[in-house]
Amino acid sequence: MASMIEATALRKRFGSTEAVCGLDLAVARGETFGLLGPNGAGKSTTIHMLVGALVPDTGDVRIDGRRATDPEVRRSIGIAPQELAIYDELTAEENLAFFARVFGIRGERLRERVQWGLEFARLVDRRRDRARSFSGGMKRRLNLACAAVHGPSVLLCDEPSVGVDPQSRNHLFEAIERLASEGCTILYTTHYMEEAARLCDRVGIMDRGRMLAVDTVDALIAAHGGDATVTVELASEPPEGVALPGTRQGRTLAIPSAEPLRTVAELGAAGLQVARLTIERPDLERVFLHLTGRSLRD
Amino acid sequence: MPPALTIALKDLRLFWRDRMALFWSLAFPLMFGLFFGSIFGGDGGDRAAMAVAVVDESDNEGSRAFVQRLRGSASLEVDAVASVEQARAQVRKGERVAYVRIPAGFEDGAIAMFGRDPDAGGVIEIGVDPARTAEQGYLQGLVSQSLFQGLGRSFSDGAAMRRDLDQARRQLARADDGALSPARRAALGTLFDALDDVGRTTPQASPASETAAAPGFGEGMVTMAEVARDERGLPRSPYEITFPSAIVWGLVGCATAFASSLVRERTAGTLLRLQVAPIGRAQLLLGKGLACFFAGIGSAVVLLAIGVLALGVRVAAPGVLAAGIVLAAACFTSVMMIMAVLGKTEAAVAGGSWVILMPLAMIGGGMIPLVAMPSWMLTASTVSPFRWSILAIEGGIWRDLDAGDAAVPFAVLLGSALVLYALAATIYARSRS
Ligand SMILES: Nc1ncnc2c1ncn2[C@@H]1O[C@H](COP(=O)(O)OP(=O)(O)OP(=O)(O)O)[C@@H](O)[C@H]1O
Ligand SMILES: [Mg+2]
Repeated sequence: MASMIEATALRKRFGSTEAVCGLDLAVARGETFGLLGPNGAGKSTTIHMLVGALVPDTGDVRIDGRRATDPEVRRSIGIAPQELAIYDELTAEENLAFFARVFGIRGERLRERVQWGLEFARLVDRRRDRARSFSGGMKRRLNLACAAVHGPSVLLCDEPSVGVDPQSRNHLFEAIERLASEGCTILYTTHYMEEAARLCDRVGIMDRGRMLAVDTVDALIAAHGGDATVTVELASEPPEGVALPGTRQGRTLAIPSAEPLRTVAELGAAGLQVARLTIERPDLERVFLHLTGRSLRD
Repeated sequence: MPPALTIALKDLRLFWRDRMALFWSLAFPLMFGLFFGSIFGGDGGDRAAMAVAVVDESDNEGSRAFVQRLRGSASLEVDAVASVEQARAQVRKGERVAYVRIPAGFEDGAIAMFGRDPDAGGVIEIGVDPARTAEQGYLQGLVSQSLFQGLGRSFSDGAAMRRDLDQARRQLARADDGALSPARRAALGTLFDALDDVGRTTPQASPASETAAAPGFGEGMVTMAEVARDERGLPRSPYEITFPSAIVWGLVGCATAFASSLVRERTAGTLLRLQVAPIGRAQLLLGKGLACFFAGIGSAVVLLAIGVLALGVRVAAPGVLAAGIVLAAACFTSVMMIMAVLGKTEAAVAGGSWVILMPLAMIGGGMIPLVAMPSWMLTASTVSPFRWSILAIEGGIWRDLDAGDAAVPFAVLLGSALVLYALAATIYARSRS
């Protein structure tokens, strides 16, 4: 399938900082792609280059096979910047209408799209209130709605969930899932792996301007997550002569295992009395730790 | 709707909702215009004393006494002037409200009141702008009062009165029939006889009331001369000087408000959205410019309306004024664009705006009116768009320039607007990171 977003060998330097160094990226049509990386990884810089707001030092960007500077292409792009890019002194409705207008939407369709945006952001009953009066979560939803109000086929969301409480976050995810189900190609940056795991078909792991790995979440975990961890808290001292696997700390055992259920069965067969048992599957956090030697968030 | 207009309308809406911006572009300029207008020369209405030039062509005992009585009036500020031409010029220029001319052959006292044929000369002439009806009536009353005071003195002194009456009878006899109707001659003769009786029977009459100005009684003693004040090229009130400055301050307020709007869009991230939208950077800059321009025009119209409706500011040349406001707004819009494209942070733009605009305003007539500037400062002011804007706007308010006179300020404003706009657009096009 042809890529909707394609970047090759992107490079951008700010003074002595290499923000992005030689990044390749291909997002398929209709795919939701997650760009996962810690602060300063170069996610925003990448997005800005993809939409043509920032000129790369070297490398090439194609959206639907064309340059991002092509007005026709621009009409099909929506961006939800990392900052809350809405006008505080305009109402929800006025913000949506303005951003729809600058994308050339007029008349009856303008009214339709503004209504769509208000419903999308769940702000129908606050439509005439100024954005200034909104909570952080409401602003985030409006920020995303303004990016999608003109009905783009490519949507770039730069950390859309920052500072949003779990309930609003859920609304936000549902909204993004709805867009994805309507066929929108979505590039989503975050440093929350749970978000990437929930929303994204594929995830690219980025650090210090480089793409370290790209794949589905499961494949990344399988390739870089390592073993699961079986943690056992013993109810009593183990019988004499039983060799305990893993590392022991008091009565707690931590056992790395590629097949955790089998490990549990073996423990039972050895006659151990278990007070508590947890199996921890490897996650993207572990993938990141494995790839960079650092944790995703400090 | 072109994208630039969409952006302009959005920015105007934001401007309208920004209290600080409104303060600097409307409230502050208005306060400036009112405050400085009121401290320069007070309110036009309650002037302390009416400045009057007196030309005493008679220069006899009677005329000097009359002038002395005029000087005694608290309502008049009397200055002697050598010739009537000089007096007329002063009134025309607005230096004096009126002049009072005492022609050769003026007689004070009873003679002046009765013994004189109005057509024979010696009649006091008041020269005043016919438009100033209030001053005209008031002055006529004051002059008549001074004349009657002379009459009162005659009545109080029987001997002086008889002497005056004798002289009056002789004049009556000499006057030819063409100048004096027989009926009037007879009436005056009877009146003189009657007054003679009064003088004899009450040789020590009590002093007559000093304010016995019976209306119509002194008719014919005073003529009014119309001296249309030539207000062309002269401010009529201090507000006509302070309001052009206030209007330019309003433009400065708009320019500073919009200068930071581009930076604000950048920091808020809305600029990123606009950069992604299918509109050119030129359209974006143009949109900001249009918003600033229309806000400036709006502020100027509001200030001007207040000046005209509430403070009597004239619009001597409406066409010049309209063109002046439009060009000044365009010039300050371009100044705004330069600041907008140069500034990287909101604080830098706000600080930069004041650092650039304050000195230009100071030397350009924003504080000291151009008409009151020392000459070195007037020379220095040529570099300031403030000066040219004030000149263009004053040209339409009180300088009453025609298009030819206004050509220089117009050309300077238009030229700098275009050059600065081109410069701003170039900087903006190159600033693309
Ligand atoms: N305009 C700029 N000028 C100078 N340096 C910049 C600029 N923009 C980004 N950088 C630098 O480039 C690097 C990457 O920044 P970028 O904003 O792309 O990171 P990010 O992955 O989006 O981080 P975050 O999760 O914090 O948003 C950082 O070191 C940053 O300091
Ligand atoms: Mg970022």
